[in-house]
This record gives sequence, structure tokens and C-alpha cells, in this order.
Amino acid sequence: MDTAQLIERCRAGDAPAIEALVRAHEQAVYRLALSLLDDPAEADEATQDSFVAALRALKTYRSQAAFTTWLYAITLNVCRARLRRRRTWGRLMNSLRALLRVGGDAPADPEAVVIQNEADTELWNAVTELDEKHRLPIILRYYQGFSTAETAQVLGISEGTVHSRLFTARERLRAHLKEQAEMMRDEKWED
Amino acid sequence: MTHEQALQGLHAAADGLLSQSERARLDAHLAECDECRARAAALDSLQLNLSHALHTRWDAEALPSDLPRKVLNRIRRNGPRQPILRVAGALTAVAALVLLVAFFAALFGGPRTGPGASLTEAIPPATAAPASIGGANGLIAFQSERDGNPEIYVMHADGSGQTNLTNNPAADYAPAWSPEGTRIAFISDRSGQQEIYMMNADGSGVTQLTNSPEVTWLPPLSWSPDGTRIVAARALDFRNGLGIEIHILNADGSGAASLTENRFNDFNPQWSPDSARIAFVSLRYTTAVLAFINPDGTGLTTLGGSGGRNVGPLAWSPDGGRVAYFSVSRTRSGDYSDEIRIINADGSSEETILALDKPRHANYFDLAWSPEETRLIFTSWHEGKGDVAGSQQIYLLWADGSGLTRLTSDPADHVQPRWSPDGRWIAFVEDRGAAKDIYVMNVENAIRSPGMLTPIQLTNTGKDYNPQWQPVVMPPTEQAALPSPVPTPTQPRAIRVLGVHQVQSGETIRCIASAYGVSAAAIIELNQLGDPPQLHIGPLLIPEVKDEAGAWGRICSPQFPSPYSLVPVVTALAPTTFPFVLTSEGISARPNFANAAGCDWMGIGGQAFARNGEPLAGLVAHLEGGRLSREALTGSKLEYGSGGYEIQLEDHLATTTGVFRVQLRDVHGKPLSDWIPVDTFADCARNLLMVSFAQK
Repeated sequence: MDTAQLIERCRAGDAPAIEALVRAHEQAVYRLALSLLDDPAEADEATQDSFVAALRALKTYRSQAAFTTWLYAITLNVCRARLRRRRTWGRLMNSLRALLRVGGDAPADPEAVVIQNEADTELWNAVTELDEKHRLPIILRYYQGFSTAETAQVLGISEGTVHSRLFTARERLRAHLKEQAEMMRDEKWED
Repeated sequence: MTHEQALQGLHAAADGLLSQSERARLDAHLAECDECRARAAALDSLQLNLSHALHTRWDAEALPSDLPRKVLNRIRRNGPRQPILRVAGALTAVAALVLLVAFFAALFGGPRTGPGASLTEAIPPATAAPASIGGANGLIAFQSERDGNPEIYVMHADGSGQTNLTNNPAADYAPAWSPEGTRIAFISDRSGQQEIYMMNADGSGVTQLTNSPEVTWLPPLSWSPDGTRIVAARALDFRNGLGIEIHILNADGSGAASLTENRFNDFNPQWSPDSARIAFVSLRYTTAVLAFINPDGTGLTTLGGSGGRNVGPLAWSPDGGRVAYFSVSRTRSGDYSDEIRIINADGSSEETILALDKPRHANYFDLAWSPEETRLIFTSWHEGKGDVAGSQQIYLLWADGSGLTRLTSDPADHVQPRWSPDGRWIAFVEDRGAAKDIYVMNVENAIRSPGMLTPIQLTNTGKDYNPQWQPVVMPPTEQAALPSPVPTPTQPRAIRVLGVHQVQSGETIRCIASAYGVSAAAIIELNQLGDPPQLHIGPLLIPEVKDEAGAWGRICSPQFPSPYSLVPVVTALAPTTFPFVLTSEGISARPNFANAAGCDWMGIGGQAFARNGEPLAGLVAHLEGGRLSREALTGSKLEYGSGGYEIQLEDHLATTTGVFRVQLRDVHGKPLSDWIPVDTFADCARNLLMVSFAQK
């Protein structure tokens, strides 16, 4: 059965078809939600939210866009709504979380990922300091492996805008890492 | 081509936006420009590192189970016209975030269970009279978002009288009881800035203590034991996680001062119960070390920070003499070995009491000593496999490292365990993802039936967490200045008992030894099984003595689900087959010789002995009576011998009959003897009752 048939049966509320559709895309949607939210529990909920939203919106889906792109755009919106809700507290939280994560097995960090590499940690910290506008293209490009065009479609912006955001983001990351390296070097001299 | 154009070109190439001719022009420029080549290399390396860092971060995360079923259920349950995002979701997000702000709190979804409505019906047997939870008049402060934003509530320990103390559209959180239990310090952003406030236990008399728009205060707030000062961490640049330092202020808001001012991030300060020191975590770029400082800012010392180990949750022992903390490895080789360590407050005598091997999903929270300093509780999801995949549960162990027991077991997370002031109850939060409620469990029942207990539900709005027991005020006791006791001569070490195994038909000594990972010869020796050894149906002491091989054995009995289980399965003893009895001397009454309290004291002490006369450590003397429920490990009080224990009954003399009784148990709470009644005398010459146990 191809995607179009599957979608047709999902529209009719066919449970096995819905199950098959979720199964076919759960991995990709969860990875996307996880990379946007950086929290497995919340990503689980957001993945469910995304599928529920997509299934309800199926009637508005027109087959000119690839189904996956459409689904990713919904997931992105669901996650963005969650990120917006976080915002008041989020600044506090993300930094605290980043702070604790650096300390190894951070007490307030529910995730199972143990970052072994200090360079990874530093780079991640730099990524968390990017604002959402610049962070999302970086994650889509370097974690999801989307092309500039795919990133543009999912984010609903032009390819040129994606490029200029990636440019700025990469330059900021580079500057941040350089600063860190210099700081570390200074510390070494002081000690 | 200018440098600037070359840089634009490099980025365009990185995004696949360069035409062939543009690419050729760029390559030509790179060939003759060292600086641009360096920029190109840096960009390549950044891209590689980004991809690596992000994949490292998230790839190991397993896909949540049962997503298709969950989605189907939600579609069916909500019907087509429900809003896609539940309103509760917004609340949950804030709840979760505030939970995280509550520092060692947990933020978990975890697989959800059904509605917990039936939980209130089942009340643990025996000691479950809810009115007595937590001792007289004890309140529990907690956070709730039932009205849409975080508020501080109090309730009685049986869940009655839930009262909103803060009633405010702002967020009020991180309640911290003053040591005398009459005031609550908390953090609030009601002024538009996040500041520390104080109020009375009834919510009256709210005072703003700080006025510091430039900083962010981080929980927890920690009181000085005399109730005059508060210590907390605050961040100058919280967004960037920079400039987090320990700050101290008087309880009226005056006298604020920085305790630490350095280039590291210092947080999670905990004032020692004896006032002398403040412990905190100092994050030195990539390594979190345990640090101590005097309240006047002098005497900064740090521990650890080498060998790729980091400090996690920490807790002062109730007497302020020791700190228990998690030491978590973070090596590149991927061999994790996470430990609970106990260290003296002066930095001496560090001891690892528990090592958890290869806990890949390592996260530990909420380490806390029992009020009597005998046991520790913590939460962890290191066993998050199988039927409780990824869920976080509450564990208990004795302060000598024995008797690790998982108290809760459920697909839902169980977090924020907090001892009641009398040490008989543990309040905790059941976190079913979207819903969080506060429960309480009786410690004795939980130990006796680990993972099987049905706790008492105190709140049911699904938005309650961070329970904080009101401290119980003790009248000050005059410590008699007696000369310290004569040091005891060195004694041979007692054999530590790992547990008591109920031998069943068809088992062999070798199998049992192998299942517990101990020496078969030591089992034979300790239990005097004879030569050739003969095993009888009934209780068998398992000594903690390893073979030369030392390794855990194979499974060779259906009774042991896994030879690697940290908690060996011990079948419950039939009440008639208790393996220990009072020694033939019976109970003798003497003047207190064993501690410095002299005559201002009343208690029991003694030893446990094996059949062959060896003193035994690692068993539990359990005393009940009056309002008391106290325990001590054998082998913990050497004044009585190497298998010695001691339990204080009162700090004054009293004549009692039929009030107190004592029972020998194993560390998992399984009874090993009958209850032995103990009567006391208001007599300085008879204030220590000697109660020793011997194996039958």
C-alpha cells in the first residue's frame, strides 16, 4: 500500500491504517521533536500531539507537498508552541539544565544521554545560546540532515532566509567557541 | 575576490547553494589565500563537530514505546472536536519547568498509568492511622498549580486542610521551612522581578527579603540551623549560565553578602545541621566538585574533581558530621561506575557505600538521610529496563551500604521522596507525566513489601509536587558535659550478613552461594552445617564473604530471578521459624556505660551472634513502642562488641511496663526473631537494657 492509499484509509478513521502510518513515521517525528525540545518526556508528548494534529488535519493535506514535509511542519509547529510556553521559565530552565548537564549526570536532567566529550558539551552549550530563529535551522540541517530547501519548506521560509540564518548561526558558534578556548587558556595560565 | 566574499562563498558551499562556476572561483581563491583556507577548515570542522555533538546528544534516546497505540487512544478518547493541544498541556509545561527549578526535582513523562482513583482506598495495614502521619500537628508545604500558576500550599500530613498560602497571580515556589517550623522562605516573581520572600506558616506577614533585579535566585533556599540566615545560589547572567555564586543573607533581608566570588559556577548550597559549614556544588567548567565553605566566607575547600568524576545530589547527615553524595563517572571509555560516597565534614575518611555498575541511564536525585541517620533514600532510574522502562523510583539503603531496596515500582515515576520528621513516613510525588500528586508511604511497610505497597494519596488535583515537611520543634536539651568514653580496644570484625535465605526443598548450598555471589564455605561455616555439610529446610544466614573467584554465579535455582539482582530474593519466613532468640542471659539492666549521656539517657543495646558464637553485623534491631519506631544496625556500635547496636529510648529516665518491644530483622525488614518486650526503670543504675540475640 502506498502513502496515498494509507492516507485515504486514515481519513476514513481506519485504525490499522492509522497504526501503520504512525509506525512508519514515529521514528522521524520523535527524533525531530526530541531535537527541538531536548527533553525525551516532552518529545514523547509532542510526538503524540503531532500525530493527533496531523490525523485531524488530514483532510486539508494536498498531495503537492511531500507527506513527510507536511508532517514535519506540523511537528515543528507543535514543538514551537511548547517552546513558546516554556519561554517565561524556559530561559531559566534551559540554562539551569545546560548548567547541570555540564556537571556530568546533572541532577535536574532527566535525559539518558551522557555526553562524554567535552567538545560536544561546549558546542551544545553554544547551540542552546542561539535564539530559536537560528537554532532551529542548525538542528534541522546538522541533526536531521535536511537540505537547505527541505529546511526552508519545513520552516515555511525562503531558502535565502535559511541560508542567511545558518550563516549567522555558524559564525556565532565559531566566535563562541573561540572565546571559550581563549578563556580556558587564560585559566591555565592563572593556575 | 575579497576575504568577505570568500567567507560568503564558503557558507554558501556549506549550504549547497554554490553554482559550479562560483565553486571554481572560490577554489581558486582558496588556493592562494592561507587565511581563507584556515577559515574553510574551521567551517568544515564546525560542521562535523555539530553533527557529532547533536547525534551524540540524542541518538541513544530510545523511541518511546507504543506510540501508535497512544495516538489511537487519544483520537478515540478525545473525539474529533477536542482542541488538538489540551489546555492541561500548558499547565503541565509550567509545572514541569517549576519542577525543574525546584532543582533536584524531576521532570518526567514516563509511560502513563490509568487514573489513580483507586489508590486512596487501599491503606497500608497496622500503622496506617492517617491522623498520626508525621507526628503531632505536622504540616506539609507543597507547590501546586491547581489555579493555573505555581502557588505554595500547606496541608496536614493526612492530606486534610489544603490551604493556598500565596494566592497570587505570580509564580511562588521553592518553599523552605525555617528550622523552628514557623516561617516559610520562598521565591516569587510577584513584583515583576524574581526575589526571595518570607511568610508565616499561615501565609500572613509576607516580607520581601531581596531587591535584586539584576540576578536570578536559584532554589534551593537553605536555612541556618538557628533560623537567622538563609543561603542560596544566585546568577548574574543566568541566561548564559555564568556568574552563579553562593549568597548569604539574614532572615530579615539585611546583611546580604557573597560567599563565593570566583570564575566558577557554584550552586545547590546546603547548610550543615551543626551550623559550621555550607556544602555546595562547584562547577569548574566541565567538572562538578563538592565544595565546603564557612558561613563567614573563609575556609573554602573542595573535594573530588579528578578521574572524570562529578558530584551529584548531596545531603548532610542530621548531626552535621558527614555528607553523603553521588559521585558519578563521566569517562570517555564509557565505563560508568556511579557511587554513593560518605565523607566526614572535615574531608577525612571518604567511603564508598554503594557502587552501581554500568548504569547507562544514570540519573540520581533527592538524596536524603533519615532523621535517625541510619538510612538514606534517593531516586534513580538506573534500573529503568523491562517493565518499568525508564521510570524513576525511590530506593532506600542503610548508611553502611547494605540493604538496597527499591521501595516503589510502577510505570509512573516516583520522585521527591522526603522523610517525615519522625522518620516513619516518606512523602513523595507520583509523576504520571501530565499529572503529579503527593503521596505518603509508611517506611516500615514499604521496606517489608518493597514495590508492592499501596501508598496513601494526599492530593488529587494532578498539579501538586515538592512536598516539604514542617520541622518539629524539639525543646533544647542540655547536653551533659561528660568525659568521652574510654576508647574501645580493637576488636575482630564481625561477619556482615547479607541476608537470610529460606531454604527450600531441592536447593543446594552451591546454588544458593552462587546466587548470592558469596562463598559456599563461608555459608557452611557460619551456619554450622557440619561435615559433610547438610542443608535443612528453613532459614540460612548468608554471610557477605566472597569466594576467591568472587564473581556472581549462575542461575541454578528458580527462586532467583537474576544472580545479578542487587536485592537477593529472600522468601518470607513463616512466623514460627524465627532463626534468632534472645541469648540465654536474657535481658539485663545496667548503668549506661556505652555513651556519654550517662544518666540523662535510657536505651537498649547488645549484639547479634551466629550459632557458632561469631558476632554478626548487618542485621537490624527494630524497636517500637510509645511514639517511637527506631532501628539500629548490628555492628554499628562497637562499645557493645563487634556485633553491637544501640537504640536510645528517651533522654530521661522513666519506668515503663509493656511499652517497648524489640525485634531482630534483616535489612529488608524481614523479622528474624519474636518481639522481645523490654521494660525500663527510672534508675541510673539500670538505664541501659542489654538485649542480645543468638541464632538458634
